[in-house]
Amino acid sequence: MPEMVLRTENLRKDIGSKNIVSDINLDIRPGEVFGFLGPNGAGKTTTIRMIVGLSKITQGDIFISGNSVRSRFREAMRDVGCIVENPELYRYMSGLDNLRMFARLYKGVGRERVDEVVRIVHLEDAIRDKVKTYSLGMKQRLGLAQALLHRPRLLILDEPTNGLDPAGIREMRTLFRDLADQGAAVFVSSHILSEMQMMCDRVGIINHGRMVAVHTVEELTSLSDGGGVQLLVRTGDNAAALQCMNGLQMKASLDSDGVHVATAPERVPELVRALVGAGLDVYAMDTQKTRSLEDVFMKLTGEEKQNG
Amino acid sequence: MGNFLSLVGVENTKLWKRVSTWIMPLILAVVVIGICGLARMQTAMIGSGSVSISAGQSQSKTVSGGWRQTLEEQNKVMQASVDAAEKSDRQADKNQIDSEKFRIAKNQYYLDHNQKPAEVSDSSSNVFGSSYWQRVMNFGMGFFIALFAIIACTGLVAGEFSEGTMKTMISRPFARWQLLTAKLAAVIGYTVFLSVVAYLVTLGGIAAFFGTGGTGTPVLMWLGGSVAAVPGFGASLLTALLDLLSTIVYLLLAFCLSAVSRSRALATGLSIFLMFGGSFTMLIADNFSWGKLIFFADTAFSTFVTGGAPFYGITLGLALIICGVYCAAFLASAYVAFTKRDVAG
Ligand SMILES: Nc1ncnc2c1ncn2[C@@H]1O[C@H](COP(=O)(O)OP(=O)(O)O)[C@@H](O)[C@H]1O
Ligand SMILES: [Mg+2]
Repeated sequence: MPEMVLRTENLRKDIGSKNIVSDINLDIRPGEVFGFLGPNGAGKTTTIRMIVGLSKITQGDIFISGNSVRSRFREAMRDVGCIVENPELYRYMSGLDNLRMFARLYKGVGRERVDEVVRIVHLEDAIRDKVKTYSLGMKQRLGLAQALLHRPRLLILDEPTNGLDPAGIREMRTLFRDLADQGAAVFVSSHILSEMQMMCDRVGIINHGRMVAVHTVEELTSLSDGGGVQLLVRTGDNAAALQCMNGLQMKASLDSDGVHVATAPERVPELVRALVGAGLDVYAMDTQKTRSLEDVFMKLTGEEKQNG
Repeated sequence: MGNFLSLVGVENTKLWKRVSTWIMPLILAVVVIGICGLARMQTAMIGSGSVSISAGQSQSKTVSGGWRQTLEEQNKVMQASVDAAEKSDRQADKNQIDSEKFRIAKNQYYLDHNQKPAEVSDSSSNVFGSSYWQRVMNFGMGFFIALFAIIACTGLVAGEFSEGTMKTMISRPFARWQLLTAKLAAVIGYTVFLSVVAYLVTLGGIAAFFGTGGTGTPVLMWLGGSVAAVPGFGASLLTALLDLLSTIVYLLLAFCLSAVSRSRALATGLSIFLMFGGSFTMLIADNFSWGKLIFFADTAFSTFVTGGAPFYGITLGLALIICGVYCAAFLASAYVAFTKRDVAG
């Protein structure tokens, strides 16, 4: 088994007498993009802040490439690049000055590497401007550049898609894949399920400060759509179509925009044949978006209750 | 892990990329030159009047037996007042003892070396003193240097919290105490830089506006209770060094307030307020012996060697020890606050 890039053991954080997160156990392998998913206030940022040394660990420990964040902080941080919440850089300096300055904090990061990360994040045009003139998206890119400078084995990004346009998000997805292919681990937090499904290999779900589950994206997808598909069907006679679906023992309901039906993917052809066989004109069959994060939580926490 | 010297370099970059870091030494230079110029104009304006007065004085002194007799008479009067003060129970009466002893010893030095003191006869003496090095030494820019050092320090330490960039520095291969030490090194370096700028500009400014007359005259200093004739350059360096130490006391106060409060505005405001307000503790020290334990009263280190102890019951050594203890406390609280507390972000 390869050495874990990141491992947390029974991690706990109390602020004052209030418990914020507890019993966080995570194992992140080299070469994977790991999604840390949870609604606002779940404890994602709190956990990340402990991993990168911004806040003290109340209980438990964190290991990065085997180095304890508690006792071998400097060695642990050598392998980490991160952005926690908004990237805060030196506004009175240019982007390039910022990067050159951060480069000096690591051995063997020279000017060529600085130029290289500027290209990776596509910030060539603005890199000589002062950071105070940057848009949020540009700051995100610069933040990403400083996190990548020293080729960290672990890249940690807290809600990195904030402020990025769809094209930027797509680029970021490709970048994560490339980094993972080169053997790094990428740890991304988000509260948006569909985003995680698109960019991650595995997803850990946190709610109310506790880990709810860790799943591969395939498992998660089947969880979130209940192993089936939801279709919106529009025909020449929707009431007849509904009868037809009920006849097939499919869960269906009539609505103003058409008939909503949920079924297993392998039964879709059967449905189409039935509709055509009934002489109905099929105008549209749209796949509906998967269930919300809340639905998945309901399902997961429900399962937990059954198991427990 | 990371190289500590690179970290100091990084802190210096942060410091010198701020425009204010360049403006402050410029202001310092302009102020020094400006004050020199104003003082020169003032001397020129009242020049004729003061010449006639001092000429009259020296004439009357010549009549009554020359400068030696004047000094001897002065010493008798001063010795009597010192004797009276030492018998007094009230501290307020005793505050001048050390500086009077210094004046007596200076007069005695002139008498012993049969050397006419410049102050009595020299018409070229003015607000800053009678010789080149005297003028350099009396030209104190300590307040401005401390003010600018405080501004730089609160910017580099508290400013990173106020601007949110501190979190970008924490997750690096350095321990937190190293981050803080690098900042300390950078601001002390800047304070030294400001002091050197002020010193060099003063050397040049005084030479340009008042000439370099009396460069060879040694300066009489009050070292450990006896008069020492110190070559002017050495004497001015010693005063500059002691002034630098005074500035560093206030710098460390600002450093501590920055690390503890994490607010640039609060740390700057409070440091400057305390630097101003602190001088009033001198009034307490004038009247109560415990007053010296409030370090503000003791920070005028160079006064001890150029004019005598500012109040009764203090020596340079004691002043340095008291301030040193305070500085240790400032540093300890700064490091504890910086290493133990969570960083927002
Ligand atoms: N300094 C703090 N003091 C008290 N409560 C806090 C503090 N920081 C975070 N919290 C609480 O901890 C919970 C988790 O916050 P956070 O980790 O920021 O959530 P997330 O990043 O998942 O949205 C929230 O309920 C928040 O109110
Ligand atoms: Mg968050």
